Amino acid sequence: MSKDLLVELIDIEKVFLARKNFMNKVKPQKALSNIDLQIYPGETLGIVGETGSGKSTLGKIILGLERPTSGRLFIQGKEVLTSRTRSKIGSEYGFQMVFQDPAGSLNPQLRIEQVLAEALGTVESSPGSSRMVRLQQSLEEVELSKEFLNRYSGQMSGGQQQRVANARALLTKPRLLVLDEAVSALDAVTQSHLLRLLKKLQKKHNLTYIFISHDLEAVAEMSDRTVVMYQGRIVEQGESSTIYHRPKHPYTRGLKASIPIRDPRLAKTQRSLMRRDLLTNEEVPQHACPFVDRCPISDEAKCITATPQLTCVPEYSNHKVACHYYRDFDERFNQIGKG
Amino acid sequence: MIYRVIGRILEALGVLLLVSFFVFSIATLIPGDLSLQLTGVDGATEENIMRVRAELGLDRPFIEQYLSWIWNATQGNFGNSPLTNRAILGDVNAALPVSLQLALFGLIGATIVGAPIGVFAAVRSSSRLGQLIRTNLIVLLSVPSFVVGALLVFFSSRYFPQTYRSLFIRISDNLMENLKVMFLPSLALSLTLAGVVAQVTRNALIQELNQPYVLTARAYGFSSRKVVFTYALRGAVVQILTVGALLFGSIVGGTVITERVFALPGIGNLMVTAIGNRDFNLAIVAILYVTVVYLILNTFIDLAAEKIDPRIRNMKS
Repeated sequence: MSKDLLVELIDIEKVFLARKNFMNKVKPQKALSNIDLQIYPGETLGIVGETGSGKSTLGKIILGLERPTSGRLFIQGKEVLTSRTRSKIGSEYGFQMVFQDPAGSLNPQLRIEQVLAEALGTVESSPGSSRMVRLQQSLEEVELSKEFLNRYSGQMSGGQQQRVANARALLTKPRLLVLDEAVSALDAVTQSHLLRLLKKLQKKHNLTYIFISHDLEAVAEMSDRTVVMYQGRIVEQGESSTIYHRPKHPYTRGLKASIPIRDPRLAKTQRSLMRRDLLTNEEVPQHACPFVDRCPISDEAKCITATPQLTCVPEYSNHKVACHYYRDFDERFNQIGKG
Repeated sequence: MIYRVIGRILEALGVLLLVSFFVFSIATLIPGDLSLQLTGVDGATEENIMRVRAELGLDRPFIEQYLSWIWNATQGNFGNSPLTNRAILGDVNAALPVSLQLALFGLIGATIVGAPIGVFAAVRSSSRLGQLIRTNLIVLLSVPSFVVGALLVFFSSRYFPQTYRSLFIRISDNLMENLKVMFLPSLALSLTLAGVVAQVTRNALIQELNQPYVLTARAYGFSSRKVVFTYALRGAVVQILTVGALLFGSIVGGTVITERVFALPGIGNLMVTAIGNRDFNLAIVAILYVTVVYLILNTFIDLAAEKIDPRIRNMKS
């Protein structure tokens, strides 16, 4: 495997088994299937998708917090998923994550000072006085005063908690940082400030980010490359600007069409490109395209019998899409609209 | 702080007043009273019974009886039991420490046995062994204490006669002998309560282990021992303590079965005997004592929970 890559995932699959009682295993839930992904050092990779699309699970697998059911994971060209791997690969390689739920990810029993000090303690041991300065600086970076060191997480607002969670992750100077909806609970000003800060730190320390969000616009703005996920599969990936301005996959088109238009006169012209009338999700056959039930251009012949594979789009470099009919989208869309 | 203490005490007095009123009403409503016990079957003539009732004041209206009882109680005068002619306070004071000791030993034993099982079952909750423990806990929970107690009495008196003591010895008379007497009853109680403690520990710990901050701690590479014992267990401890305190209270008033099986002169035994004899003056005081134990425990747990868990502190402020 190439040494230039920071992380490489090959054919990763994750199935959750909800075991109800002692004897029988029930209902395997497929969270991820056929995930092939390369992450280059120093880049920002965006992952966009709706709730339950498997984007958080993917982040946790890269950090070693979840073990994939099958597939191979390489970090700097070294295979890390051997049969004896324990869950700590992420922290060993300096990978870190800011979790979706900032309130929950801070231990409510500890003061912020202890929370930050424990995180710092995992990467270095520094004497008390200089450590205190470091902790104060880390809070200043996210625009919190040092008084917050004495608080418990329950005594702060959601935005403050999220800033602390970000400060904690940055404190450990991670090589790769997974930002799972890391700024979505913040107000617009703090959000853009924190994003700018993250970019600054990235340039300075050559950090790699994985930016997970449900918001296509935010992902495209923040990241170099974007991966679009649907039902545990990658349906489209490529340069962020291409994904945002010229989406190919019907789902990505749908995502883009659903971005709120801020001009109230134009907002009236907005229409949804997704439907939900053909099948409920449980009824989608195993070998069908996962998007078949909501896709505006799907047909019964091809889409329901074969899962489309990621294939290269010849017009753009490094752009892949998993759709049988992406070339004929406009034509088919108009046809179906008329019919 | 001072207002809270005063508030607490007033609250406690109110509860005691209510409890005494209810017990007094029930005592009056239950058919039968002490007069039959005192006159005996042979002397139970209409005339004798009327005389005894008049002597005890049982012929007076309910409210009058209750108010005079309250009046005496506020002066610390609970009277003598008409049946034994001993001071009621003396009897109850002698019985309470026995039950407290039994409850304390039983709970300590239950924690020593149950808590590690609960922690293990929580940490390995998805493994076969964890599931097996969970299923067995339900069986353990449903074995009544008199079965365990009777079995223990049987086995120890049959195979280890030196461990079995049938005669009760007070802690103030001889500590070592007292501990020997209390060993078997405490063990019986521990085994029945261990299931509850294990179950509560398991559930509280699983709830904490599913909190996102536990996952975060793992992401930072903390050892799983640290995550379980200093993170999750600390969050779960308030829940476990609360159930423990409630258990303690219910044991103090409710160990009558264990006390009967092992012939211990505890407060549960005293209460049931008093009610059986219709000696309600004694029963009321015994019940009020147990109420006081409950109130003290509740206050203690409230304060401790605030001390331990900042989440609860924040909720209040």
